[in-house]
Amino acid sequence: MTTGASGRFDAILRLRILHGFLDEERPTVASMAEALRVPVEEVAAGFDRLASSRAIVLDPDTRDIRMAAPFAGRPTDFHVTIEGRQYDANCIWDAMGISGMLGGVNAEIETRCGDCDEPLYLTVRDREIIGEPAVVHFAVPAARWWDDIGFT
Amino acid sequence: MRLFRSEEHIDRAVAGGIPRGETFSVRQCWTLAQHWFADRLSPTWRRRTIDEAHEIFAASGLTRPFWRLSPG
Repeated sequence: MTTGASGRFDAILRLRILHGFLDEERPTVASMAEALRVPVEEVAAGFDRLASSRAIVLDPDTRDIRMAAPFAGRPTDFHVTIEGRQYDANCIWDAMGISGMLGGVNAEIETRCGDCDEPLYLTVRDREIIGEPAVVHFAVPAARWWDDIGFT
Repeated sequence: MRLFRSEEHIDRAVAGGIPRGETFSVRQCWTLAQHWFADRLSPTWRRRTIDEAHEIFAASGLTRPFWRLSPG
């Protein structure tokens, strides 16, 4: 994260992005520029700085937000429902993280087994996680996550 | 990071080509997620240092070399 005026702007932008996802939006440069009432060029530069600091991940072609952890910027196999609102997460850690970010609020998590593709359901209730038997697998060592953050 | 129905399902996925990594419980993942994302909506959030990240992993029982981050 940068310091000074751009650092303050980036902090505001990062929060606005997360709140956009919480409102079931998929924040873009244009929508953030409108929300923050600043030129799109300023927001685009902010997106690039946030991506450089790994606060978000941008699609290399479109520059749209691919990840603003715990949220995914595109449909995934990790669906989270909280108070009737539906979100996509990047992985099972992030799926739980959406509830965790909100203080452990009640949540329904639906994903698929990484082997047989059958649905698996978890539920957060009263800050505890419950659900059918399942195990979590991390395929890539932590030191190599950013080799391809889309596959961990 | 994915969820699997059982260790046997992970074994089958590995046989099918995914790398063999580390397996841990749903409860551990929940503990990790709560700690990791607790401050994400703070205006003063910043990316954690490697040592801070390792502390969170350790609090979730994830202490093996697999969980060691590298600078970058």
